Amino acid sequence: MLNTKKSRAFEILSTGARPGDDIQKVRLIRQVNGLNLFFIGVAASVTLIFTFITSSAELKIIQGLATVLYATSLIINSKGRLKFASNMTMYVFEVHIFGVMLLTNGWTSAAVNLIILYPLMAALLELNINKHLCIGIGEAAALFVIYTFLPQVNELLVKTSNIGSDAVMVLDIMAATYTPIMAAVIIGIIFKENLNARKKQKEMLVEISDANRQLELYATQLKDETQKLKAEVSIAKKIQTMVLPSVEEIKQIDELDIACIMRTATEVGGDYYDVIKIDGIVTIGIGDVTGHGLSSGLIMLMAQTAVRTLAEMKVKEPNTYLKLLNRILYANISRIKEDRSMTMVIITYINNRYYISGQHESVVICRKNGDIEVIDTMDNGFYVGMTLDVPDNYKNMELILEKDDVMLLYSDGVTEAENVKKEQFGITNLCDALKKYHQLSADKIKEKFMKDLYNYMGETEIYDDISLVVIKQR
Amino acid sequence: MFRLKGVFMEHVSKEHLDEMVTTLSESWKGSLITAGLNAGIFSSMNYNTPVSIDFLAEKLNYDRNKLDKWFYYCAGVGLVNQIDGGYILSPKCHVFMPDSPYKDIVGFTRLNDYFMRSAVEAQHNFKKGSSLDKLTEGKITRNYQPSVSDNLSAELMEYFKQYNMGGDDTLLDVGCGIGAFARTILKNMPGLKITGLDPNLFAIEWGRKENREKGLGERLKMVVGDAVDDIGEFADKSFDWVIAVNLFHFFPVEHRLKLMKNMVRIASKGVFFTETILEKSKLALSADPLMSLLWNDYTGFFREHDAENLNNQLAQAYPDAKIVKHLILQNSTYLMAITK
Repeated sequence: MLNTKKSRAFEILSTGARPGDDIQKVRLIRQVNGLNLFFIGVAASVTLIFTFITSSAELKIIQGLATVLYATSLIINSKGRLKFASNMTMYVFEVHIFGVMLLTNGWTSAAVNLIILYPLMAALLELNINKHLCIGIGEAAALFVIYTFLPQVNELLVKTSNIGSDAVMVLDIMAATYTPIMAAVIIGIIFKENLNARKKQKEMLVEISDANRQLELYATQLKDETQKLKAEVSIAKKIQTMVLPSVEEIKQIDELDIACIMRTATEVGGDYYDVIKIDGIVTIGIGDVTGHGLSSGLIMLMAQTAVRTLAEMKVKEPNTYLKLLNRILYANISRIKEDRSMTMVIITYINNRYYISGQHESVVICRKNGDIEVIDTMDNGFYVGMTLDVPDNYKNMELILEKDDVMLLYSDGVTEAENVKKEQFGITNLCDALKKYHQLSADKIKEKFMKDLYNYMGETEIYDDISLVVIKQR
Repeated sequence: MFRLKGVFMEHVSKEHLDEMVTTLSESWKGSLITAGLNAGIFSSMNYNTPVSIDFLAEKLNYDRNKLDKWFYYCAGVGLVNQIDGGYILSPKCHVFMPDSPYKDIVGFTRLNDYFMRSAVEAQHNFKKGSSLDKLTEGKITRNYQPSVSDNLSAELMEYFKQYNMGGDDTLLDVGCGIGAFARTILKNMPGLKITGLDPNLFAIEWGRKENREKGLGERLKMVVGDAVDDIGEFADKSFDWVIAVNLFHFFPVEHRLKLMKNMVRIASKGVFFTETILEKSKLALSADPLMSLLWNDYTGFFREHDAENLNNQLAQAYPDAKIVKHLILQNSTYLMAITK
């Protein structure tokens, strides 16, 4: 019950405050309302007292009118016109008190003391304190002038107010009690509302701190996520590059001069290449997993393991190789539930002949005399690991390289590498570079080719993995 | 047995023993300085306000007892001073702390960190084709430039200014690595247009990434290229200045003169390169084998007579050019300034 009463009082005080108003505005609204409510009570009670101590109708009218006007100010404030209501309360009070002073013996009225409330009220209502102090002093001065220099006017006022000596005493008592009470109430409202506002601010600060802590937590989580993502990329890069054939391994293949390189993109692209020699059979694989990220790196690892296993099992036919590879990868990719597959070309080198099978980027040959041959592999098979429903026979191609002929295998990261003008390196530049450097060793061809590619790209980022396998016939 | 022991003992004189003990204690002193730098103890202290061991133990979350031992030693050798309220850095520390006026010593002190690590992995690093940089997948290259090389190069800026490098001059930085020094030059001379040349794809990728992040794309281009044969592709006088800082000890000895001549050919105003001479300082002598454990492509500092030969040949090839040798970096390294 008490709570209900309290909350009603709170509601009346806060009438006129809108959701979203800042604490200071709400505080002022409450101060104006509080003052108006207090004045309504005071003015109404004084009206009642005047009924007994004076017959002056003017005085009662002024008191009654003031009560109504304070109530009006309360309503105006409730409509959101805070500034207007503040000024209205202030001016009504000043006119009201001046009226009371005039009609209760002027300069000798006990009500003159009430002018000390003007600057206090102005402070409460956040109006110009000096201005209202001047108004108060001005009113007192006017009364003094009337009293001193216009005795006939003063007499008329005393006559009109019709207050006897008993009533004067009542008025004195009223002034002596009302003035400090009103001052105390005004100052009390200012302090109380300021304290309220501070409390609110503190609560808000706590809320802000909580929100900040929450934000910090989110930021940490985000940082963790970013770090996780970075770690994932770095793991994927590691996976992808750690299983690449080493230089020493490749150097052991006497019959071929081979050089390879892979540069992983910011987001790993799932490129694959391998060079394996087992029992005189050299198996060269190159491929590219669709998509980016850790999964691509994992599928590349699966492909590498499968190719190696098949090579160890001495599967010579590239056709059989790819069919088995497709089954293995399809089964594994289905398990990890990723919509991935990969392009893959398998080249087996047996008895000076290359057998090429599978679908990937073109195989580019540069003959010793500089002639370029581009072998399209699009008809050589399908994406590996996409479906089990593949033809019984992948197309096999047979190729012979003469001494110093060069074969270039690459991933789409090479041909699709862009320069600052967004122009792709393309197959033409690739062939030109190969033609330019084909007389060098495989390692030098690789170095010079990468130099041309990187300088073509200039300041642009590497968007996709770049893989290059250079095979020079010895 | 006795005879053998006696023979053995004859060869180990007191003098040898003392020398070895001094060597070991100095080496361990270096390790403790490196430990203090890496653990951030030195950087948590200053020259005036004392810090207590308890304060550092709490701030750095370190074991108080270990810190106590470290401080006891460092106070003993005068690296720190104990005063009321804790320890302060001694003026001796000012030599190798980041605010040191001797930037080369700051760099060399940081280098100790890498040398210690390469010594730990020596059984791998001594192998052909292996090095600490390879073992750490390029981490040494990534970190060496800012922490060591930049300090060694900082002094050069003043010389460049003396030779009126500036304005919108063009500059070719041969062997730019990840481009850290080129970026330092740009900080000092923002109007310059710099092209960095390096054969290392990784370094170029790294440098380009940093340039993109710092918005330097227009003023600093980094191209892949070999300073042995690709540098021939640059036209005569195509740059105002050509520099090669700390490059020659990573460059095949037999191609050094050719590169110097190419640099002079490409430059229209002048050429700067550094030559570190082995015999000129104890530091260079001991750093030489250690550097080869850090990098596979380290070819060695200049031997004194080789450097003299090269410089003479260069002077004969360009009689009109003004060649000045400036001694920098603890008496072991010269900045060669060739102006046309």
